[in-house]
Amino acid sequence: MLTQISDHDLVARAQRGDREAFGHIYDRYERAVYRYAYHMLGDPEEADDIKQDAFVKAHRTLPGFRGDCSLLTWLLKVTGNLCRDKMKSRSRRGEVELAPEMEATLYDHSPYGSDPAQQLQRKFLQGAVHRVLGGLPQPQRELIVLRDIEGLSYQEIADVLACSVASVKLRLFRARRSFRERMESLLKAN
Amino acid sequence: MNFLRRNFGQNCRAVEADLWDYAEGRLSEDKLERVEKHLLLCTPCRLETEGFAQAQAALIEVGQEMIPAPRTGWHELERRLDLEPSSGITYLEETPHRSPGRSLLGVLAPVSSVATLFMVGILFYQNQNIQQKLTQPASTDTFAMDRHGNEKRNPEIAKTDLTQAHSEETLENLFDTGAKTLQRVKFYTETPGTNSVVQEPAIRRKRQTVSPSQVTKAKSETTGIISAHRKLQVEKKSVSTAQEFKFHAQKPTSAEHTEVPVLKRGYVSNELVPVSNDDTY
Repeated sequence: MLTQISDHDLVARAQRGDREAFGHIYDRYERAVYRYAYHMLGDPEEADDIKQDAFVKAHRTLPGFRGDCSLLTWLLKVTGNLCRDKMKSRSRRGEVELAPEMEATLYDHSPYGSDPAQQLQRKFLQGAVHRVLGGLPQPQRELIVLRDIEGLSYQEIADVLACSVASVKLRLFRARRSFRERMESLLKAN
Repeated sequence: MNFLRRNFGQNCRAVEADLWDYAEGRLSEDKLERVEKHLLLCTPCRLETEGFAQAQAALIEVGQEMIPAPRTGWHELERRLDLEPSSGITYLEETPHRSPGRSLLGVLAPVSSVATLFMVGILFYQNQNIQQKLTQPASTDTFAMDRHGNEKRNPEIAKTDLTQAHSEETLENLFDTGAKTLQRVKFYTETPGTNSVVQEPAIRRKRQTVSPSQVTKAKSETTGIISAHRKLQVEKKSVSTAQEFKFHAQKPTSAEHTEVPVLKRGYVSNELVPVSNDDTY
């Protein structure tokens, strides 16, 4: 029944203390939040922790949500902040990210029976993208993940990053150029 | 040639922002025509567009990537939400668990209130001590340092020396009190270092903690004494003259009383000179 209800109504019900409504918000946006955290951090376990933390934080601050932006944008904003904190603490501790190639090998969820050569090529490409994304500065990585992987609009990205649309376009252009250059050099090297 | 190069560069800058969208096939009609015209002439931009297309293909791959499923779900989150401190959302059903944050607050609150009371007590005790010290008589040091660093005879003691010789106890006490109070009032009201008021170290330390109301109180207390002191000045003068007269009449008995020639108004006097009393208020 609640699956048909709009975000606005779900938020209103959750703000009044309806735990079930908050559960539906979770079901609706859990995957987007998790994917965003995963692409930002490159580690499924950390992404899972961040997802849970993001929903706990969202639950705590939901009474302050006024609906100025969409619920997804707001949740991604919360997730982005947590990811940034995580990356900062990671760099302070001097931790090294798991190599993306290893990730691809460890978590092989490809459909059974696909062409092995094609699958290998795909894995290689995915690993290369992860490696390049991991090497990009965090703001550039954030922009590419939001726009080119998650497919958010410029306005939604501007809401998530709390900046103007023009700024998003300019920064995204630089990020994409940087991504292309690194990707090309990586592919040439291999 | 330079002009051509610059013109060429400007054209590139005009379209470079649209190259990604062109590679993605999202460009609007008017922009599409302009970009295509430019790409026919500009090899670097064409190469860049090809690179963008490859990057997009790779990113699409990643977008469609099967990522590992998360370990945790709604039930784990719900358990965490039950453990969370009050979020501002009041749920209809009561949660049986009491959060650790609230129980810690319950312990800290009485401890902090006891600590506050203790601090207030200490402050009150210190204030009492200061007031008590202020009402005590001033230091009985005979010498103090003036603002030039010279040792100066304490005027209070100097006056006391004179009055000790006096037989009348009432006069002595009144004068002593008046002198001390006058010194304090001067000390509180005058700027430090000016007018060469002798500042006793003990008083100097207290000065920072004396409030204006205490100064006013000291002034009002002193007014009566000052008037009494002025009345007694005449009597004191006559008494001290008599004492001095007696003193000069006596023969010198100690080494302190040496015969020192003192130049006074053009003639040499062999009179014995008593301890000078040049410290005035």
